[in-house]
Amino acid sequence: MAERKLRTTYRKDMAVLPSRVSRFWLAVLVVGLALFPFFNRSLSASNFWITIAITILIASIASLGLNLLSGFAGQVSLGHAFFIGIGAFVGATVMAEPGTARLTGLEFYSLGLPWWVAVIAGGTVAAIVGVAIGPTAVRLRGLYLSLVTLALLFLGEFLFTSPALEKITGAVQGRGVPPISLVLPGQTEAPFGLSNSEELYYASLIVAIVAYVIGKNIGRSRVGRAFQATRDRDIAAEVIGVNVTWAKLVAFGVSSFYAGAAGVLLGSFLGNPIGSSFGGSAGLLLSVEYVAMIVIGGIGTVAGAAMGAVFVVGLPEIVSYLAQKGWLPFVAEAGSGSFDSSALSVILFGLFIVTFLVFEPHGLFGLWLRARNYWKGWPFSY
Amino acid sequence: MHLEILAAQAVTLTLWEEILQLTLRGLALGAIYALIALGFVIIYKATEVINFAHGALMLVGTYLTLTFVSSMYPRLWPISELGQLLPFPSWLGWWADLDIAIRFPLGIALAAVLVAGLGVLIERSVLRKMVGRPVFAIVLITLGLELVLSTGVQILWNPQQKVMPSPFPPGSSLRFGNLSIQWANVWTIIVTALVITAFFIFFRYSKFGVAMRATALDQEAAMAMGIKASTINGMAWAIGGALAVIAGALFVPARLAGFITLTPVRFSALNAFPAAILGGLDSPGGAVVGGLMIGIAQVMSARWLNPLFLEINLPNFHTIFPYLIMIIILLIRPYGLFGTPEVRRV
Repeated sequence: MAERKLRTTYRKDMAVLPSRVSRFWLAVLVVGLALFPFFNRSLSASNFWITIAITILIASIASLGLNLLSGFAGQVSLGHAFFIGIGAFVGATVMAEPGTARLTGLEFYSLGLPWWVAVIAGGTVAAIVGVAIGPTAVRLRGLYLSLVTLALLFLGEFLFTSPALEKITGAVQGRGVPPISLVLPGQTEAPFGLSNSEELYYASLIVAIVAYVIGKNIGRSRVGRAFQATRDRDIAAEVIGVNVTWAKLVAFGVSSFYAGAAGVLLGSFLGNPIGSSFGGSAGLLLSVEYVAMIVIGGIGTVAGAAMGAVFVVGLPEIVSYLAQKGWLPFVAEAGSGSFDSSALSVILFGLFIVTFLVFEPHGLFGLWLRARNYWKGWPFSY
Repeated sequence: MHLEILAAQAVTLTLWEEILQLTLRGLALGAIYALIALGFVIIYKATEVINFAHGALMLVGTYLTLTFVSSMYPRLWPISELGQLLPFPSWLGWWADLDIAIRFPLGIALAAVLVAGLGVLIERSVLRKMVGRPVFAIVLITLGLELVLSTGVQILWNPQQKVMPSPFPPGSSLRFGNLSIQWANVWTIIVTALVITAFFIFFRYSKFGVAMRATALDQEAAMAMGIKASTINGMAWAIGGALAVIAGALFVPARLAGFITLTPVRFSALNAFPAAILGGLDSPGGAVVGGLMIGIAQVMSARWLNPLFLEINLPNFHTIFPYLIMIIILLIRPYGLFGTPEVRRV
């Protein structure tokens, strides 16, 4: 990585924000994200844009979790959707007002606690489940593990839709999740007159910022180095004193926590999450979407997880926008034919996964580094 | 999924008759799992790739078989009319006039050849470039291929349900005494037995089979003896693809009563993963035994365990039973019943 300034100490090399420029752009990004809803109110399609922004934020939290597990610790997991599902239903249970019942009279378990308690609870429960399947993870290396996480998806569908857990998950019909409320104690309305979706946006933004700060620090600390050593050569890692068992368990726990926290937000975003969308074949496709995010964004990079989320959430929207404009004459209108914009975007995901892995394993983040370094030295090649 | 197992118990059977009956049905289901798992294991043994695109290969093969058997082919051009099916042109009319009992096996064979070619193409074009790269990257590549292939099938053949003609009419059963077994299941067992026997004869005695085993045992030594490892890898993908096609084409009449939709075919291969793990990921014989065991276990659990779990409000227990077996096996013997214990060298 070519740098303008020579870094002379390890501390400087590991700094989150190594230069004034990066500090400046990060500040611009955070302020921009914080002010986005207010700018967005003036747009004509404001509902559309805030929906996209929320989806990206939630996806970027969960994909960071998967990137810590797969990208840093090298454990392929297809069970991410299962942990997101756990978060969604735990979140529903924690946030719903006590006494919430279905028309048939079935009363759900509800606690009526604030949203941030739900996020922590959702993450914690998912992390506990993640660590509980740890014994399998510890005994198995990469390839076998992906098969066990596949089993989790089917176990998830079985449990989420079973009447035995109906008071938590609402069985096959799913259960309603209240919108996230940012109303401060002692007040009756949300600050700045925020709408429901704007409240969800800010909640997701807060969680995402916390998640990225923690994620970045996990990546560059002892834990992250243990993950990477486990990924690159587990025997060598063990020899130099990394507790591989411990590293795998922590990776699973952290990744599941992120997925669970994102799941709480996702449940509230969906309004009525249904168990079967987090397990079985639908869950597999959801998990593969997250895999696409980390592969396209950049395996084993924190920024890549966010880039991948933007790309994977944005691509179908761009494709359907182009199709509406008539610039993709071969694509049928959504839902009308077999080759519609959603089929095209799934094919593109698949092709992008394959192409990036073959030609640019560092993903969009790698492309960005290459482009940046090229222009830094331009017109000289080094 | 397999609820017909629970229903249709018109005649009261004694316990032993019922066990025998369910074993037969389990064998039929397990035969399909065995074929899928065998292809999966061959690819893993030769190339050390866990092939998540196996279900997609099966899907492609099943829809190709559908095309050959029903004499309706998908339009490829213009792109805006993808998803439409047209009858075979008149100069191929003789094909549609063939008896279904001839057209069905021939259609499977044609589809198997084509998908074998597709397997070779995938190996040549994508996976060969990944030799020496981290295993998880290769696993993720097969996931990407799965998306491309399955969605490709969805686009070309459109997602609507279709009927695959087959020589075994649904509902017709072979009866002896109180026992009955559907003809589709009988043929599934017979065809699988023949295919697997042929494979093992090939694997054990033919020149290529010996070369495959040698390469799996020690690639460098095999190459030093003049065996081309790249040919062997391509051949493994071809065999895996062809076996997946046969499994898919038998799966539709035997398990779906001749009705094809995308999802059950696409994801039925996932049910065969427990079979491959149970037998040992690198053991072809283990894959067959594992497939049969998982099939019987699933059918038996639907009959005997489902009622127990239904009492505590957990329906459809049989859908996860194979995965529970897989997890338990992995905890006790991570290399499966017949797999090679992994010796790790530094």
